[in-house]
Amino acid sequence: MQISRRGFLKGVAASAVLSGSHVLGLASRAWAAGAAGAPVLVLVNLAGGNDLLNTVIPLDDVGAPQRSLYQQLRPDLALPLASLATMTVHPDPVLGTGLALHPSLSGLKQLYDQGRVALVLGAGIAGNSLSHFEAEKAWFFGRPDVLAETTGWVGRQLDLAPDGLPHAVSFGGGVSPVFEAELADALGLRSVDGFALPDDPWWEWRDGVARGAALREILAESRSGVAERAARSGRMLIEQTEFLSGIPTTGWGSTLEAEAWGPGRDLREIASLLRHDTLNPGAATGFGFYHLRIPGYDTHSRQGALDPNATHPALLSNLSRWLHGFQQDLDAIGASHRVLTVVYSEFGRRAAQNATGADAGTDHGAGGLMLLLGDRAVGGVHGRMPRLDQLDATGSLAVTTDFRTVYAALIDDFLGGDHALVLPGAPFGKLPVIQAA
Amino acid sequence: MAAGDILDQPAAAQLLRRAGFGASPRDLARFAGLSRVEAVDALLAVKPSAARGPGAYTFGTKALERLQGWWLKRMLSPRYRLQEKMVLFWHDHFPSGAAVINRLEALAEQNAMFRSHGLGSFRELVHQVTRNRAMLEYLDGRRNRVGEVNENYARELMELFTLGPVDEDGHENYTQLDVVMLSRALTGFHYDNAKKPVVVLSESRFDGGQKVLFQGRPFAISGVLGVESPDGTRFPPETNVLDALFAHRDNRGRPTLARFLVRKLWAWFASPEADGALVDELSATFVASDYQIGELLRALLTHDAFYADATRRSTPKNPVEFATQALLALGVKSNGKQLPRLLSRMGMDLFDPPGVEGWQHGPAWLAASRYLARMEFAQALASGRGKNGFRFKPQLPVGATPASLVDDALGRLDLEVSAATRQRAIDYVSEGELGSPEWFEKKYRGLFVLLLSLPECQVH
Repeated sequence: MQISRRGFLKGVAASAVLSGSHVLGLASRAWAAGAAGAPVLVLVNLAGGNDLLNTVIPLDDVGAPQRSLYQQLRPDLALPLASLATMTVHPDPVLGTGLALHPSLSGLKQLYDQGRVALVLGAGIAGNSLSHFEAEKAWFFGRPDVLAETTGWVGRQLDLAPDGLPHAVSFGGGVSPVFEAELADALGLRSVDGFALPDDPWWEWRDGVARGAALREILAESRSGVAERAARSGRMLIEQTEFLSGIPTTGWGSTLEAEAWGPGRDLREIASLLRHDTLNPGAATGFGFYHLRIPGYDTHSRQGALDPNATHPALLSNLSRWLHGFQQDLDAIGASHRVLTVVYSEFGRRAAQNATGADAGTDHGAGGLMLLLGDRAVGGVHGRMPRLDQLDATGSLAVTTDFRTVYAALIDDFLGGDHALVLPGAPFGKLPVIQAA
Repeated sequence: MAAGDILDQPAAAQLLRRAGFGASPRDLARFAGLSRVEAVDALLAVKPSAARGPGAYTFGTKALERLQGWWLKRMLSPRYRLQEKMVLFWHDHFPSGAAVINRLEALAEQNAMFRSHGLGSFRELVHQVTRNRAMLEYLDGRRNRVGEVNENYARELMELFTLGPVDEDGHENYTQLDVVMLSRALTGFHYDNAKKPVVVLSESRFDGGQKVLFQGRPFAISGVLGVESPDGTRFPPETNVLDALFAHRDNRGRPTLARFLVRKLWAWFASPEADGALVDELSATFVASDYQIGELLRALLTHDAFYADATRRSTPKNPVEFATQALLALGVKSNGKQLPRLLSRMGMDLFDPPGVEGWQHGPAWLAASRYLARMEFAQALASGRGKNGFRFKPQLPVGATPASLVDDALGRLDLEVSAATRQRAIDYVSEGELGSPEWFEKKYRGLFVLLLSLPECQVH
């Protein structure tokens, strides 16, 4: 049986047991991951396979015929040079090819120019699968042999010090497999707003308080099998709803204030929780990991190039606005030194377009883009752009950077852990993407 | 399996929950006492139907909710239960969603296609899906043409719909070259944007070149592989690329497709894992019937393993199952209008699954905010007096005691709970003056909210 740590309903915390455990809860939160000052990782998954080649675009043929082949392979999708004049980033570290961000990423470019964005090119894993599900499992699980695994790489990190509290929050309703663990439960949220047991006066008229007390006692019984899994979720629900409903998610001046739904809202709510932790170090949420999923990147058709309303440009423009707003919020609440946002996608896409004219899209590929954002990121371009004259057997951009070299840096140098305990096949050489604190 | 096995009440309740959407007490009484075979025969004795929900020509939330509500009402009708349970299965298995498809009428049409073919031949179903308008849009089949191959549908057809990426020993079932070959063979399906579009195979879009599928395997086929010609004639088995999927054999020479589908149907109807011998037996039945879905379900739903203790309470109910079972067991009338929104909060938007893999089943349904949404549904249902879309009029039996009320409610919901839980529920209804109007509104209706919120009520 799990000890309850917070009053279930306002005004019910009168019993000695409840108030005693309430104090215990505060004490355990003080040392938990996500307490004030502890590092926080925000994982943003671009679901469907983001097109690396139209996110970071080659400008010239230095080192390899990157620009010429880009235009040949993608007559309808290639971004014209003129559109990229203000979007230049550092050249390819290995080839020396000039590179630029897609013009829809203007907000992200500002952050790049501040030295707070690390672009990791050609990210993936050897033997990369062209299946969404196998490929994303490799990223979630942190290993290529996905059939041998059921836990996520973050889940295994959390399992190293299980304390019965949720330290990971997954937006979108369910729980991301990246947080799947043997012992540690993650909190699956649709949104913080509305995540409250109905204990308002209307609900009280429906007898919510008395029923809540009964339910709380019933959930505390130990069970087995799937019912125990449900009971664990129910206990967490009851504890977290009351706690989170006291944290304002609007009205505090967030740059993302107007984002009413979707990933923009999710990022505003994450910023709100981080703000709470900064203002209330003694009663922090304990959340050290967040995950959210942005769908729509599976651009098999009508991908678009420059038109800001076309599919891929619009996806990038939203992403840029959300990430820029989120980073501004972190700056404003004084949390940017300890929060790192990591953007990833299951794979990049095929080098050549698959149709002509407006229908043009790209099929599933291999090497993709990983992006780190925050004060602790080593700004600039890392890895190397896969060569367009050396595509893999399927015509995809090759994988040039094993994403586990980034995971290893995140675990060791950002979280202060030991990646050998979490990533099978360790040790991995670490890509230098994390600044010393 | 003995034909004379008689269903007791819990077994009948389980059958009607899994193979349908639950049952009213009267309905349940009809099935308890039947043999397994009689009961499953009754479930299967439903005629293929082309019934089709209201589908708008453009997308709108209201229009989507009308279509969702139409389907939910049909699910709640005892006449169609197994038919509709299979429509839901196929919608999950061969998903197409409103996030991609703006014309709801195409989704309504696909839904009707699952109703026509969902209990028939799986060969025919795969053919229908391959030339289905919503699917041609959802996975880009209409954009797959000679010289401009789009791999989206071909890859998912093998990976998610028929074979799986690897067999049970971890051997790859196909290669990237096979994805390309199958894509080429599936080129040419096309439709215009007329008011009533017709899917045709366009000769000029079809790749008429030589292809080889599953090269180097004993069941490889080659030639001008395809599905059907422009006049609608199907390719003969020697060059029919869909038949080649059925001929696929795993590394041990066993029928890959049959095993793949048996495992998925077992997880849908019974429990997450099927043991090897069971898969052997059921897939043999499936193959012997030339892939008749109804025959596979007959074997599955009458099987000892389906009624075994290991199957009972082995898996979370999905949101539709949770909601429909509560409505039917408690005799709550729903006008279908509020239900789609509540199901969305529980994580299940009908006609808009989260992706081409369908919904993630299992513990994912129990994530905190989704569990909360189930409690909100329970509240809406139990307090329903019509205005909120639900009408619930619980009858208070003469001479009822708190214990008899709790036991009666547990029975109606087919819940097995601990003595402590039962006692806590009795204590809860014992508060206040039993039978008074205030007690009735708060405690009696509240009892059903409490029971629907129990962990035991989330699983079956």
